Amino acid sequence: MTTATATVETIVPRRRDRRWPPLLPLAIVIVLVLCGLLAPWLAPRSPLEGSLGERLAAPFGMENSKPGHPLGTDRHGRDTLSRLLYGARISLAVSVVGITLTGAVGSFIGLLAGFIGGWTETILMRLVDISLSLPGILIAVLLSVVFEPSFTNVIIVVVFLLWPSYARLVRGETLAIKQQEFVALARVAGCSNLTIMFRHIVPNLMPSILVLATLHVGYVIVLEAALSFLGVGIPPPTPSWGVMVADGRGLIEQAWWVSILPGIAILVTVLSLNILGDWVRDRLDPKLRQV
Amino acid sequence: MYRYILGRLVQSVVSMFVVSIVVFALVRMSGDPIAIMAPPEASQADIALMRNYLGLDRPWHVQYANFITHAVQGDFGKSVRFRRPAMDLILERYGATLELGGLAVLIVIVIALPVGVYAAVRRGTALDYAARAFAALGQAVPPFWLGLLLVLVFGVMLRLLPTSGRGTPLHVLLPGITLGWFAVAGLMRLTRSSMLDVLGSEYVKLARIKGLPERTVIWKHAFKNAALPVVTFAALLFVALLNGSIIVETVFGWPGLGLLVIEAVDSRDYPIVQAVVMCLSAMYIGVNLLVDVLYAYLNPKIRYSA
Repeated sequence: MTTATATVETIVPRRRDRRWPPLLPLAIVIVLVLCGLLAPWLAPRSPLEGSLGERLAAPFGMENSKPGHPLGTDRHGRDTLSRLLYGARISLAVSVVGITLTGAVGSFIGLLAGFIGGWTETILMRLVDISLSLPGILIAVLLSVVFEPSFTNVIIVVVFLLWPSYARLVRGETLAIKQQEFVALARVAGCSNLTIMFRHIVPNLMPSILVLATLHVGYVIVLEAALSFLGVGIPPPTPSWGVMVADGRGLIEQAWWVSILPGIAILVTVLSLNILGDWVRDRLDPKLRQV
Repeated sequence: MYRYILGRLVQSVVSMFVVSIVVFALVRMSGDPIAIMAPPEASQADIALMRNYLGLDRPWHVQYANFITHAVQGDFGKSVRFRRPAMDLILERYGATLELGGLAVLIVIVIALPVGVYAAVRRGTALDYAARAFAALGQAVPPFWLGLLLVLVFGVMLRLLPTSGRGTPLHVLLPGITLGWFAVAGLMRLTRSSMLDVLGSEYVKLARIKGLPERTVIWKHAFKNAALPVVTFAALLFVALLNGSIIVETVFGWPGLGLLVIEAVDSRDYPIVQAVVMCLSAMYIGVNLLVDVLYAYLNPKIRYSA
């Protein structure tokens, strides 16, 4: 996004000690991952079935709250806390699957372009340019009209939107690594192209790819929530945080908690992830400040 | 320079071509349109006649050529739901989206630029920290949720502002703020870091030694150069506004293009979806092209290297 980012900041030493990760965001992310993994055991109620007698119960401490629903219920009487916990699972799944797949596809294309060069490189990099110039959310809307909204659609959109950044990054890095002596030596030693690519170049690419992936997690979570909110992502009644915010849209006057609480969950998660992502970047690969 | 512009132009045309192929292919893959359009009592002969009339019995490249020749003339067929040409509906609605986008751009420029500049000038002060905290928060807040929060606070609790629809100037306020918010954070961060770069340079020191008033140094000397990366941001800003407008219009029931396309998705109104996606993509690709050319004009490094 930025072309001329803070060189001043890199010259002036930072006052904060950057060796340790920011603890609060780290703790929040760990808790969220645990919530996602352990949702079936942690959730007090079912995320999908509610009791109609307990519709729109308020969170505890407010009038009209019901015992057993600390964060209230939605218009089907489903427990908000349980749905939030299962929602963490969706966000986790989308970001892990989406980013792994994008990282693999994008990096592979970038590796091919950088390693082979010539026409392959030109064509692949043009593809990157074109892909970057297409409006992603519109493609998502279109996909959802043609195929029913689904987890797979969300993943396709994530891959579609993010692969170019991996391809660009990895191509650049590959070009630099290719020039180094150990690659020439490997060739002299009789290594095949495939061995050089995967045994010798890929391990050297990993730090940059990891940094980029960390920086993308927050983005992917907001993207999934936004798509699901619009009804073109994860379909209801699956408790994605975006679906939950959409559920509460018409109820904002009587039952604000239905959509405000999942929004807070998204906000806290993404803020923590972004802070952690910045830290990982500064630790592993400060030159990526430019990305 | 001309070679560069020509190259970008060709790329934009290819991008638009890819969009049209994707739009065409996805809609064709979605199933037989005859199955939706034909009444249940239609005979085989009727269906064959209809297929022939609509050109669906011809090979796909002929169908695509047909689609694209009509599309460039602004003809995307009739909306299934409104029974009117899709293009008419777009022309009707785009004013609303423009109004919303205009306010958002105004908010972004009026807030992000001065705050970003002063955060850089007063680096390390409370103002700087507040601006950075706001930027970090701003980039983490999901826009659709912020919209609902504003509705809750200003519409439901304080009863100050209308929360849905379009009409009085007050109606545009909440959606405009929601749409502008996200971009404010990004532009503020960028302006700040870009200004920091420039403020550390020799010529700014010289301007200060010369005894120029601080205001002249900041705005006339430093900001002019810091503005270059900010121009690139215009493209990103447009992307943010485009994506955002779909979301914000849905939240506030704002009758623009975004709401039109989301409603069309709900009612499986393919011509509308096709038309809106094609038009917005064209705008998007066009603005990207414009920004790249402008940037090349402003930055000789790109102009001569390409």
